Amino acid sequence: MGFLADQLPIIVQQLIAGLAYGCIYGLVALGYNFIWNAVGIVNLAQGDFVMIGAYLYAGSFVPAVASWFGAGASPSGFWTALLLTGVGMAAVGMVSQRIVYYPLKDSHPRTIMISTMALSIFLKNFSIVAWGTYPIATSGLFGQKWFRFDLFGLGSVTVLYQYVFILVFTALLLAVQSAFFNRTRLGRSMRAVAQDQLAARLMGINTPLVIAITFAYASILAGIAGVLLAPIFLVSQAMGSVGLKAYTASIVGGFGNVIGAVVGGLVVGSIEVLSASYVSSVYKDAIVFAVLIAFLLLRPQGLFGKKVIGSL
Amino acid sequence: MALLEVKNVTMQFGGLTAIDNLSTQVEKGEIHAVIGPNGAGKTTLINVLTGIYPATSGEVHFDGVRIDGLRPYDRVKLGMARTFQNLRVFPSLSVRENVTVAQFCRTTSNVVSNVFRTSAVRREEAKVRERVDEALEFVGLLDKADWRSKSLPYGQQRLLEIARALATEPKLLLLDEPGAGMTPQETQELGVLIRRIRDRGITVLLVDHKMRLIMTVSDVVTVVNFGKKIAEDTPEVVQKDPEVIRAYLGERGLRT
Amino acid sequence: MSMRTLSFKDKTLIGIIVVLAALYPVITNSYMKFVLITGVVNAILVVGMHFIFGLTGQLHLAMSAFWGVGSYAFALSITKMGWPFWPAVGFAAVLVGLLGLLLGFPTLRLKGFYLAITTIGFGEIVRLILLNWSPVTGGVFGIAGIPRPTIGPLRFGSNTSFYYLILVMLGLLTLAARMIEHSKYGAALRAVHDDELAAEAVGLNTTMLKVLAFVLCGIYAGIGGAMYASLMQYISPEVYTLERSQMLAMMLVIGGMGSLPGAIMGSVLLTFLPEVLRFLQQWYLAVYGAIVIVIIVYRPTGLWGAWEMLVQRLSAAFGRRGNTHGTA
Repeated sequence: MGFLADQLPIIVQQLIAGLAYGCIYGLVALGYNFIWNAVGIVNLAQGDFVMIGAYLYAGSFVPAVASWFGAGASPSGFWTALLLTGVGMAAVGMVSQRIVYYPLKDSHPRTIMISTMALSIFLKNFSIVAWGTYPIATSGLFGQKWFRFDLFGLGSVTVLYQYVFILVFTALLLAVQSAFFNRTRLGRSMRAVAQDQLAARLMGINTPLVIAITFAYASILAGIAGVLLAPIFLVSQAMGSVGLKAYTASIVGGFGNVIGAVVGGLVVGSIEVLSASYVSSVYKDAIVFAVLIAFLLLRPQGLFGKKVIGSL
Repeated sequence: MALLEVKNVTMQFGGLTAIDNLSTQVEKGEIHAVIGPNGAGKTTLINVLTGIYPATSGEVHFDGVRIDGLRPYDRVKLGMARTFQNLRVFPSLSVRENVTVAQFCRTTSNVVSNVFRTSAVRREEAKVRERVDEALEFVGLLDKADWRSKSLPYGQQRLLEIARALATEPKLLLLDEPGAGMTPQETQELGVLIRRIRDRGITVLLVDHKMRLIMTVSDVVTVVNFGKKIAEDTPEVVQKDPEVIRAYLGERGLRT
Repeated sequence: MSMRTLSFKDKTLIGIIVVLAALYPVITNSYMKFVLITGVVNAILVVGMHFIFGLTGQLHLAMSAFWGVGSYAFALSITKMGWPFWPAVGFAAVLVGLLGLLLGFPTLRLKGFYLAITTIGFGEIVRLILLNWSPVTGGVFGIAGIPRPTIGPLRFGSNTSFYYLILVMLGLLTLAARMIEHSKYGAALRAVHDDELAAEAVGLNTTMLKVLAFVLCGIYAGIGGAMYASLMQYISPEVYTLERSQMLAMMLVIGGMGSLPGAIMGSVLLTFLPEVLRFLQQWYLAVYGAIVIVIIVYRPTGLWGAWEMLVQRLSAAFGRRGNTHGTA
């Protein structure tokens, strides 16, 4: 018991980090889920959207904003850069959807998946052309500032401000999203299309437009994930690996819904960080992927999803 | 001992009971029909018998062996073959290939000998080809053997499925609505075909709505409604059974 | 299936091998020659993948893992265990075949996206092991000093001799694949792809067939991996990435899924494509991705489909009716 008490502050510290990463995976997983629900395919380039979002933010908009407003990590500078990134990602999402999904929408889902694979390769290499291969560091709102608090007298816990920011921001984002989907016309249209495309069309909803907007929204989510990730993870082509962990989140949580994506993300993030400390920092990713495979074999519908009837 | 014994089989999907404590027997050499109003559980019965759904409770015995829990392909090896209600021919295979693939379970050569095309393999292929030709000729499709399977007219695709099922060298053939979508002429020819199948020593279990076909071809008719057996006898007796008539009231199918 | 008359597909296959044989001396640039050799090695891998992707229609994105284990198994048995060349290749083939068995079983109930993700995850796990299990794999430093092939007294040290050896191997492996395609197994695999339920209903053990496809793919990947290691004479974990798996899958898709000639055409062409585009400098891989998208969208039957159509149009134009159709 003494050992546990000693370890507790460290565990809490890592759990917070894990949950923060988990939020990021959850946001990307949400994007997958929306696209899956809307059109029944999976975007294999979603991880690369995160990378593009991070690059747009750190590589283009942050320097741009700095030159307009003057240097320094000022809040308004951050929010402006974030907004610009959101707009940029929406554009990326819509263009990608138009080129990679729309012409193939009646083809076999497998063909579309391959097409998104090609998109992934294109995006990775486009980012090399646009921003180079040298990783970009950015400080975000808080730089590397951390704070320390005492955990019930057991010891001190050191936490990056950025982690807490990620948790809070994600929670607020989800609240806003929930309101959007329940209270606005566009949001409800998106849900309708996700449930039954034909019925939605018969009700007069402009389905192709809503699908395009769904892709745009999934891209924005990926972009936000990239922006949140940028200060704690160097921005580089390697960021695309987030994609695979986000798939894990979607599968662990279940594809059908928001809760699945978020909880899945939190679980994956926690497993990753805790494995890194307690098992092996080199093999942490392998452990996450082993969890992925285990879920696929034993519980493919995830924790919250519906039973899969072997579609696709 | 009957070829097929169904003992107290129940099939439940969640809250829905598709088959309710059904028991019946199919004797060797018999043409046994199962009829009933739509949704009565007939196709589900075939799916349970062939192993696609595991029965919720009850037992199925085939040729003296208890087959519950066996995968569909194991049942085919034991001698049970089926056709599908909504045609499932293999679209990327030709007519001949559709039937040839059904002979696979009766072959013994392994991958390596197939790569080197040993004389044993060549002999096996020759025997297979003979049996496939025979099955195709039996249903009258030999001249169209090299057609794409989906190019055949609907009625002939049904015949193809039958030829394919016959190529597995079954003891029992389960026909799931073989007459669906067929013209009266084709249905009559189908009846003749079914009797010819029986004459070759293959027992037939058929499910269908076409009363003329059922009544002229069957030896025994089992009537189910809401998953329960409500009558089982020769066609003449079953037709007059008041329970059966009541079940079909409103159904225009009961016409002789 | 009569073996006396060669189908259009077989003739095209022979033609491709002949063209590849003739192409090598024609290319003057020694770098491009090397690219051609890699293209042929890739073709072996893609032909292996054809069993899974082309015949049973399943998306398999762990080729890098198979290929990597093949290379390492071969390299280790030859450098550390002192095995002779061809038994080492055999060892690689068997080991990766077993790996295929391992990956095949769990993937039986999974389809489409779920299968793709499982294979991706599996591939990443293998890559991490190759990268980090330093005592065995040499970690980041890889394995060096891998010899070129020898058959008895003959040594295939030069690139040219290696090329023709590997072309012969491709020919034999393609022949074997074609024999399988023509055999009862080929039809059975296609039936499983068409309609798994119906396949079971006609007595096909779909489990065994799907696993068989994985094992065959594994064997080919093991051989491809071994020959790759021998070609490069040095291997390290960084090539066996997810991106490579994706590119190999794309070679099959571009070439035309479900066709062996397509697999080979796709491999060689897509191995060359980045080099041809190199004049675009930094942009070339981005353009590569774009071209792949364009082909998928506008010509989904791939190179093989285009070739078939071309020949049909030409024979129609010249009056002869060439028999290019058929399910073989």
